[in-house]
Amino acid sequence: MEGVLAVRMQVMDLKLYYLEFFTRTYPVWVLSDYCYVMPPKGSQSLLPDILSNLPDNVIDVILMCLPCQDAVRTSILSKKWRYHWCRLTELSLDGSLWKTKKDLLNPTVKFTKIIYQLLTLHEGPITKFTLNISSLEKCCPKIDNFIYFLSRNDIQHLVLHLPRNNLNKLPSSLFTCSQLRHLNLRNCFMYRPPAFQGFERLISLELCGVTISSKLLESLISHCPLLEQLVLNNSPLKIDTIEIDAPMLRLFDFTGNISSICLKNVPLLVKVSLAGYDMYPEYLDFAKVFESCSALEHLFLNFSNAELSVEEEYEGPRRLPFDLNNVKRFYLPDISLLESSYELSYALCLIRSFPYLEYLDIKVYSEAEDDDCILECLELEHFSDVTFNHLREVKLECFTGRTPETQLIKLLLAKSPVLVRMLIGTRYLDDKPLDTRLKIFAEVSTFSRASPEAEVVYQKFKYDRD
Amino acid sequence: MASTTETKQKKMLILKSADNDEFEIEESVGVQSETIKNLVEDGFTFVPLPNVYTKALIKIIDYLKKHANKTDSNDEEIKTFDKDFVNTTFDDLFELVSAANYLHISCLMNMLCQTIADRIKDKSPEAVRKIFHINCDYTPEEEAKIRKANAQAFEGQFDESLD
Repeated sequence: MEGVLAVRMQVMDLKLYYLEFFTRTYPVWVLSDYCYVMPPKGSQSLLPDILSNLPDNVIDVILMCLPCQDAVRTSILSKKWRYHWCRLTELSLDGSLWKTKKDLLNPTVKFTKIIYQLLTLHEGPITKFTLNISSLEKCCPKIDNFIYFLSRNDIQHLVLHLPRNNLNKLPSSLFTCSQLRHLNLRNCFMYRPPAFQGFERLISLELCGVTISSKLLESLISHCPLLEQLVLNNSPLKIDTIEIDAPMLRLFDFTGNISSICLKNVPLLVKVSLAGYDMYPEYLDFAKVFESCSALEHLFLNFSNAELSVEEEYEGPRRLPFDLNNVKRFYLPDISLLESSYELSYALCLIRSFPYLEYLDIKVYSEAEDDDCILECLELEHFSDVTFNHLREVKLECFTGRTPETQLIKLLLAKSPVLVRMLIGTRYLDDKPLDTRLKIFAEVSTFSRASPEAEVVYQKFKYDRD
Repeated sequence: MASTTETKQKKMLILKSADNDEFEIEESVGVQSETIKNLVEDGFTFVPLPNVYTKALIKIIDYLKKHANKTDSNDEEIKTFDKDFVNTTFDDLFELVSAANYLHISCLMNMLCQTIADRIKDKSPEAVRKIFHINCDYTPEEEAKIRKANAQAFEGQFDESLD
């Protein structure tokens, strides 16, 4: 095989050699059967058309990287390009389609025209379709038929961002797209069509600003047996609790009222991000939220109750009724833990319930007056029942050197026997006079460390928050 | 720990370019290319690449080496490398994209196509024709008809530059 190849390559080299030679001395027609096509009369170019000569699949990828209108414009390049864009399997339409200077038509009418033109010219399957008309101010165009068209053309990945201003009913034809693997919806309300059987192949679902009843959401999720990723963002769920039953779910990202969530049957769930607001202690029950998260490894938490005044003597639970033994990484980068004893007590409750925690990322900055309650909370003697036996790295952002912050550092250093590194973000500290800084560093260096290996590193994080 | 990985012989591959230059690389680096991976799985350690010229192959091996050592911490470094990698002429980009397509390295292929698309974006059809030496074989009447059919795509100002 090698010999044959070598010979073939020699022949090729020879051809190339001649090619170079000929192009310099002879008219181009000599090579017309090789790689140059004889240009039609009146043509100006004798150089190879490098773009058109690329393999079709490469041209397809380039066209799919272009905004839709740019892809459509390629139809004018030459006859070869006339229908290239019409057989793209991935299409994306957005506001750039109707934003022009000579805007005589109503954008909705114009948009409808474009959609139907596309529908008439397109050939072959469309596996991925993105429609982003969230900035369209006028009424939403009728896209029901269009989605029905997609459902008959093998649509697998659908992104629909409908106008923000007026909430639209989700076209019921969506439920006929039985091949869907990824679905991303924004700004609409969803109701259950009579004959919906579920999305049997759906692996990722993202709902953002989608009004949906808890009952429908629960049923939708349980009718997607392969669902691996679920993102729910600001979907008005109110106080109703939804129970999530998704045996294949691996990633869950939720923004909204955390207390309305119950992760019921999620044996494979490894990553969870919860962001919430208006948390009321009587409702927020992490024990319920994490009830069956036995596989959980990464937890990202961001909740705030800024408007809530918690009674002074409020005491959160000390720990969950169960331990989550797989949690390795815990992120609380947006919560000013040391500003409210309520938030701190919840964070500590969770940390106590993660005996195998390896990485902790928290923000320590606080603007509040020194709070005795918080200092009391962080006293070492309250932690006689806890050691962070697996904690290897801690990242503390926005360190300013105040007492509750150093107290927390002291606690973590004293309780972490295998700690390797503690990274402390000093962006806020850098504004302080040198002697203040040196005093703080000196104080931290006197804290006893349970781990002989532990080093404390001060650095300015790239993303240290303001 | 370190000594055991050192003593373990690294599997090597030889890639041969279309101009008969040979390059020795680690198998783990090479198998990022689906084409090479398939050959390796069939037991080949010598891989002739009759569609890839030396100039492109050198750059591609650089790319593969860099991306084989991807970790959580060198993300920025790789981004800078990628940025420099695509900062080249159209001719080079096309040579590279053909090679990446032949070698089935999808991440490289996507990056190159995105770069080409970004450079074509907003350009007038006339400018695109000139840059790529595309011969327009439409009659003026045909061209006018297509423009009319897709009128909204041809509205507005376009970039006429040829770089």
